[in-house]
Parts: sequence; C-alpha cells; structure tokens
Amino acid sequence: MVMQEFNQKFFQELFEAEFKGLCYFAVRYVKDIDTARGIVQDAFVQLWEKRETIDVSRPVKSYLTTSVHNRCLNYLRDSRKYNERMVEIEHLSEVEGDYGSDLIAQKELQTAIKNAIEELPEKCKQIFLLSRNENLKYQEIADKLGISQKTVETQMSKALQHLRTRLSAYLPAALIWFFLLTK
Amino acid sequence: MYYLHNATMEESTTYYDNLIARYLSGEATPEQIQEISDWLVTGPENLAHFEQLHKVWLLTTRDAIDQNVNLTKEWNQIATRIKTEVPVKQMPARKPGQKMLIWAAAAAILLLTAIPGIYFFLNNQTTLISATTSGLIYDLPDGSKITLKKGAAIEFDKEFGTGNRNIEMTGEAYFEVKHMSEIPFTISGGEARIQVLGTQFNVRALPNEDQVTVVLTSGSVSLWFDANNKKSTILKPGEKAEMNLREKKIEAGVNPDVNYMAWKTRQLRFENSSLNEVMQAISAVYEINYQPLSQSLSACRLTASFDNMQLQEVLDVVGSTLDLQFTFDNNTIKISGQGCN
Repeated sequence: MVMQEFNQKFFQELFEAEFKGLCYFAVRYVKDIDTARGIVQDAFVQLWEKRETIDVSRPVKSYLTTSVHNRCLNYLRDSRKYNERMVEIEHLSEVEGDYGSDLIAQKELQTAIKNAIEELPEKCKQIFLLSRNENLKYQEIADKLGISQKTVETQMSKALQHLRTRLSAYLPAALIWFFLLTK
Repeated sequence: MYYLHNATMEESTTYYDNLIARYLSGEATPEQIQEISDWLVTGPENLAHFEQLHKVWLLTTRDAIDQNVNLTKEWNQIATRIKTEVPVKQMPARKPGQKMLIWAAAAAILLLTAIPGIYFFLNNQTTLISATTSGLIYDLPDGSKITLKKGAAIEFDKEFGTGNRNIEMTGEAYFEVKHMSEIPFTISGGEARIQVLGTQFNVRALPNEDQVTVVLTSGSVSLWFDANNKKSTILKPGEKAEMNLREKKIEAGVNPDVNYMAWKTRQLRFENSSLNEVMQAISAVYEINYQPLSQSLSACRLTASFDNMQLQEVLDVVGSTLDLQFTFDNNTIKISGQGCN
C-alpha cells in the first residue's frame, strides 16, 4: 500500500528527536552553528532521498551520525581547517562527568553557567553572548559595537578565562593521558 | 591563578588564550590551528589549559544551539528541499471569512508536534501527501480535488496529469474528479481499482479494514480487482460498493448511510436512528471515542439533523432530547441516563 516503513511520519519524528543533538555533534567539529546546521540539514535531506535503500531495521540515528561526521570532516578538509591532532584531543577532552543522568547535578551546572556568565562585565558579557548565542563572527561583533576586532578577541578570551575559573569544579581533566601517550 | 571566590576580571589573557578562544569561536585560520596544535603537545599544562577552555566552550554550546536552531524553520527548509510546490487550502467556509491557508502558511505551523496539516514529500518519483487533520482539500495537478480525512494518505508520480492519473491511497477521502476523457482517473487501494472519467465520490480504504468502500455522489465509476481480469462493476449515483479485498468480491447497492459524507460536510441527519448509529456517526465526524452503550440506552432512537455544529452543541441536543448526560474522559464520551425501555 502507500505507506512504507520509512514514511514521512517516521522521518519527521526522527528530525524532531535528533536534529539539535546532531547540531551539537557537528558544531564540535566545525565550530560554527550555521555551518553545523547546514551539514545536519544536508544529512537529513540525503537520508530522505535514500530512504528506500536504507535498512530501517538498523538504527537510522547511527546512519545520520556517521553521515554528519563525514560531512564535518569534509568541511574541515575543504576549508583547510582539518587537524587530526586537534580532532583527537577534543574527542578525548569531551569525556564528560556523569552529569547527563543526574538531573540535580545538571540543574546545578546550568545555574553555575548562568551565574558565571552574569558575572561578566557588561561589555564582555555582551560580546560573549553575541558570539555564542547570536553566532556572530568577530568582525560582525566589532562592526555592531563599533569596536576593534582586537578588542573582541581579548574580551572573548577573558570571558572564557572567567568561566573556566568559575566552573573549574565541573571540568574534570582527561587529557593528560594524551600527552603521555604521544610522548 | 585559581581564585574561586570574588573573582575579578583581571585574569590575564595570553597570546595562546586568545588563539584558543579564536579557534573555539571558529575564527582561527588554518595556520593558527596548526600553531595551537603544535603548542598543545609541548607540555601537559598546555593541554590541561586547553582542555578546560574547551570544556567551558562545550558547556555553553547547548545553550548556543537552543538559541540559534529553530526547529520549525529548519523543518520548513528541509520540507522545501524535498517537496513539490503545491497549494493547499483548508476546507472553505467553515467559518465565514476564514482565510485560505496556502502551503507556505501550512508549513510554518507544521512542526509544533501533532499540528493539523498536510505533509508533502517528494522523491524523484512520487509525491506523497498525508493528512493529519480532516477536511483539508488538496488540488491535484490535473485540476481534480481531494478532500482528505485525518490519517488519509495519497501517492502519485511525476507523470500524474500528463501521462496518467493514477493514485494510490489509504484512509478515507472524497474525490471531485475533473473530466478528462483521454486519461482515465484510477485509484488503487491495495488491489482494488476504482476508475472514473469525471465524477464525485467518497472512497474509504482503511489499512485495518478488509474492504474498500466507495460511495458515489454523481457521475459513474467502474470498480474491479486486478486479479479478476478487469471484470468490473459500474456504480450509479447514490450507490455504495464494498470491495472485499480478501475475497476479491464487489457488492454494490443503494447507500443506506446518509451520513457517509459527514466527516467532510459536518452535516448529520438522523431519522429514527438508534443511539448506537448516532454515536457512531458523531464519533466519526468529531474524531472522538465513546463508551459502549448499556442495553437500555441502546433502545433510544433519535430524529434530528445537525449542520456544521460544535460537538458540545450536538451533544446538548441529543442529551436534552433523550434525557442523557455526557461526560468526557480522555477523549472518550461516557453516556449515562435512564434509557428508553
């Protein structure tokens, strides 16, 4: 009949469940949210186009993740930003504490992040949020606020240092092994 | 360097701090990325420093994505990339002055989970349309119109309207077929075939039913099963045919159900109908369940007609006529009362 296993309802549910998570996955590689969501969109469109040849008895999510992963690496290569060591280091650095399953700890962490951002001096906070939450480039922030790119750079760096200091309790280290292994 | 309380903003930022911030913000050049990479492996303290900044960046990334990624917008863009441009409008004249909804507007509200609407998808070969709410009218490329009931889906290919007029469907739909003698309009519901030249009729081909039901309003249609060498049954206006998918048999006769179109028109007519018949019709039109009736309630009969009324109004009339009370429990109507023995 008309409806296949892989129908539009399934596709839409998949989209709703996975889109943001895959953006998070992609932005870790490409560092830019617009690029990340473009990549994830491409992966979904391709999935739809290939739906008839995809084995739906296997997790479609892993198909999508692989597709996004490859697209991210291709993007990095194409823009000459691919650095194998950085990918490896960041991959190890990501090993998170067990906050994912602990709702109270997660909430506490969210509050801590929010407070730490609130503590930033007004200008610094503004620059940080324009970069992170508005996804603006350094140059765009500089133009918008009528300041130099250099100022944006310093303020961004200061914001990160401040957050690092304030959130150090939530930043368990994992990378030291990498150093020992590469020696 | 690590002071936790009353932190001031006097943290010094070094050359590499700035570089790392640049990198994490997607601003670093390929050369700068290489520079960071080389610097990181010159000592564990560099790695530890990078790791902390990287983790901070990760911690603020989920928020950044929530702020930047609008699922409705993303979905619309995806839908645009995989669908055909086809206008859809909502059933006219339910309320006077109600605006027609075109596809773009429908798309904008599509995503807020379980929203009424029609979904379109296109691959290279076919267009698939499925309705998540009743009464949406779809204009086919050949100028014919289909009104889809909630849950109905139709599929047709690129050649539709030029090379063929073949449609596959499940669910229930009302067809107003444009006259086009050179290309017959054929509907497939499983192996059942319904062919017309230009007419109006209602087709019900529910996935959980063993039969396809066709009720003809005007014109004429020809019905057959592929397995039966195209031995066909011709239906006349006012007639209803039941096509038994299992036995490949077609039974045709006068349509006894005056309310077969009520899901589309919201016009209900009851003439000395049993309360069971009444509740069945109400349940179909308003997409609501009802609890089985007690024996004394089953004996009640109703003569009444309702023209595009709200469910509550209909129930008020039925209730005051037969002295019944209706209560709602989780999309199910519970009926109580003395009954009609």
